[in-house]
Amino acid sequence: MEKGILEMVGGEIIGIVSPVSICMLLVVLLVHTLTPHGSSTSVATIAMMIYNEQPNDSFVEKFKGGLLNAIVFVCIVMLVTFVLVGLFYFRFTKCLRVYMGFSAFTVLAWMGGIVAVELIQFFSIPIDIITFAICLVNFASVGVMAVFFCRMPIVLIQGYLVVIGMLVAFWFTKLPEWTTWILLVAMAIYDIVAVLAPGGPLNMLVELAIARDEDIPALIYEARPVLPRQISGPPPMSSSPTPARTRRWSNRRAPRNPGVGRGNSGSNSALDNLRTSNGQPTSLITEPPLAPEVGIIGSRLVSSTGDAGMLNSISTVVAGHQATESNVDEDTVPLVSHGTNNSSTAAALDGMESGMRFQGSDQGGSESEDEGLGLGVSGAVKLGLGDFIFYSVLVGRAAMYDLMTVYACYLAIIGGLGATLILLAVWRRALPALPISITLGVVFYFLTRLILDPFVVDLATHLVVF
Amino acid sequence: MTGVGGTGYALIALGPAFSLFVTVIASKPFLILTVLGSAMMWLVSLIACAILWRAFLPGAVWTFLPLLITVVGIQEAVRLYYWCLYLKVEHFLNKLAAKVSKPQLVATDKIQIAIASGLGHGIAHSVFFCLSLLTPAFGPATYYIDSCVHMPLFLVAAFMGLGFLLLHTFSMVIAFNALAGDKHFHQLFVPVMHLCASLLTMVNLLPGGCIAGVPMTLICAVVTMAVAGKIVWDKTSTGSAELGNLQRVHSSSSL
Repeated sequence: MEKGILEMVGGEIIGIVSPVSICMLLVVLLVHTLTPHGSSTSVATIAMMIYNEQPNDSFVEKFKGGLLNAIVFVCIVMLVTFVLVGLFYFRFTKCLRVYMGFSAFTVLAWMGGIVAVELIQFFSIPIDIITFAICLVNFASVGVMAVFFCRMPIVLIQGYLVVIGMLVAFWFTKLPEWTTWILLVAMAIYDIVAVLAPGGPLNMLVELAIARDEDIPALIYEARPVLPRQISGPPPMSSSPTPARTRRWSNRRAPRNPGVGRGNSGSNSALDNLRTSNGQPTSLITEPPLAPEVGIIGSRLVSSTGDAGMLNSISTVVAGHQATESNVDEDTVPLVSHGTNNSSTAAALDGMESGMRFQGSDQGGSESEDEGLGLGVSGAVKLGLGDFIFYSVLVGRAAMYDLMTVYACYLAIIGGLGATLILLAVWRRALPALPISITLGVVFYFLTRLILDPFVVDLATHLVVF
Repeated sequence: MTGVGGTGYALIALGPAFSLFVTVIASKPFLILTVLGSAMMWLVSLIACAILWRAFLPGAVWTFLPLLITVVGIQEAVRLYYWCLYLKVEHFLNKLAAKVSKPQLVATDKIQIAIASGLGHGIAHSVFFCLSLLTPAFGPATYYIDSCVHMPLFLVAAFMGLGFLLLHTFSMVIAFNALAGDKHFHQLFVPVMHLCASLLTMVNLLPGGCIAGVPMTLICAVVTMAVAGKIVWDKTSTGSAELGNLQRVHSSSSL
C-alpha cells in the first residue's frame, strides 16, 4: 500500500519540536525539584551588574533595575557577537576552536557538576566523591568530543547539545523574576534587529558565511534528517560518489571554527573579573561532521529531497510553481536567525547561534542516487542552541509560578516555533527564531497567571467543567 | 498522596489519551502537529472565555449557568472555525499529494485527522482542568471539598477529565463527518451533547452530587464514543467495499 501524504508531511518540524520539548521538560523538572520558588541565593552574574533585585523593592524600582540589567546584557551580547564576526572574518579559527572546547567542558563539568551535586543532595543519593569526579570528568570529555563531532552516534551528539542547553537555561532561571522577563523581551527585540537589520551582526555573519560557503560557527542543534527506512546509514563521504549536495555539506563544514564570541582575550578578562561562576559559553562551533546528517549549527532548515518535506512543500505550493517529484530548492541561502550569547558571566557570552537556517540543495537528478546510496538528506532542520536556552528559560520561570503557566507557555512557544518555520519556508531568508515564540510565551504567561488561573481553579474546585 | 497516587490520578485522566496518541498519532508527524495546533486553539478559546468571565468570578453559584452556556457556545463556534481551517488544510494537502504523485486523502486519513484534532482539544482540557490541580496530589496528603466528601478532589477531577477528554475527541470525529456530509442530526448532536455534559457537571455543586455527576459525565462520553464508532464503522465498511472494487479493477487492468 502506498504511503499516504500524512506520513510524509511534517517530519522535519517534529524533528525540531521534539528536542525543544525535551529540553523544556528537563528544565521544568529541574526547576520544580530544586528551586520551585526561585533561587534563594542570588547569583551575581553579568546580567545583574547594575541592579541586584531584592524582594522588597518597589514595583518601579524593580522595573527600572530590570530594564537596566537587560540593556547591559544585550549590549554585551552585541559586543561579543561583533567580536565573533570579526574573528570569523579574520579567520582565527584555531583559537575559536580551543575556546569552544573550553566552553563546552566548562558548561558540562562545572555547571553540570553543580546541578548534579544539588540533585544528589536533594535525593540523598549515596555516592562518593571519587566516583562522582570520575563520572563527571568522563561525561564532560565525551561531551566536548561530541560537540567537536568525532564520529559518534548522532543521538549522543543531539543528547549532549540538549544537556548543554538545559544546563545553561537552568542557570539562567536563577536570575530574579523581573530581570528574567525583561531580559527575554530584550533578547527577542535584539534578535530581530541583529538578524534582519542590514548592519546587524548576525546578518553580517550570515552573509560572510554565504560568501565563503562555510558554516557559521556556533552551537547548533540539527535534527536528524529523515532517511527512508531501507537505507541503513550514510556511507563515509570519501568512498561514495557524493552528489553535489553532500559534497557541499562537507565543504561547508570544513574545520573553521568560528568561535562565537569573545575570543581569548575576552575569556581571560572574564575569568579575572569572575564574580560568579556562571556562565557559559554557549556557542561552540561544531566541527563539521563527516556524515551528512550530523551538524549542529544554529537552525538551518534544510529542504527536503525526494520526500515532500513540509517546509519545502509549503514553499512550493505557495509559490505556485510546478514542483517535480525531486524538486528541491535551488539556492543555498543560509537563514541563520540569531546568534545569541548567553552567559551570565563575564566569561563567555559566546554567540550561540540561534536561528533558523534554510539550506536548499540542488540535486535534481542526483536525488535517486542519494536515496540509493543512502545519502539522501531529507529535511533536516537546525535550530540554534540559544533558542533552546531562551525557550527553556521562559518555561522554567513559568514553572516557578505553577504548572498551568508551564502548559500555556509550552503551547505558545511551540505555536510560535511552527509559525516561524512556516514563515521561513515562505520568505526563504534568515529569520530570527526568538521573537514570535518569546512574545507569545510572555503574553500567554501573563494572561494565564492573571486571568486564566483563577478562572480555571475556581471552576475546577467546584467540579464544574466544560 | 505521594508519587504513586499522583501518577495514578494523572493516568486516569490521560491514560487513554496516551494510548490513542501512541497507537494512532505518533507514527504520523502531521497528526502530531494537528494535536498541538488544536490544543493551542482550544487554549486560545479558553483564554477568551476567561477574559470574558474573569470579572464575575469568584461569584455566586448561580453565575455558573450563564457562564457554561456562553462558554460552550464560544467553543462550538471555535469548532466551526476550526472546521473551516481544516478545509483549507485538506485542500493544501491534496494539492501537495498531486504534486508528488501520492494518493489523495482517503476516508481513514480524514478520520485520523479528526481524531487528532479532537485529541488536541481533549488533552488541552484534561491538562488545564485536571493536571494542573494535581500538583499537591504528589505530596503526602489528600484533599476533599465540601460538596463531595466521598471521593478526594483529585479522583473526581481525574474522572471528569477522562470523560471530557473522550467527549471532545469523539465529538470532533462526529462533527467533521457531519459537516462534510451535511448531516443535520449529527451537526446538532455535538453541541447539544457538549452542553448537556457541561450542565450535568453542575450537579456536582450539590452536596454529595459528585456521586451522580461523575457517572453522568462518563455516560455522556460513552454515548459520544458509540455514535462516533457507528459513524466510523459505516464509513469504513462502505469504504472498504469501494476499495475492494478498485483493487479488482486494477488487477484486471494490469493483466
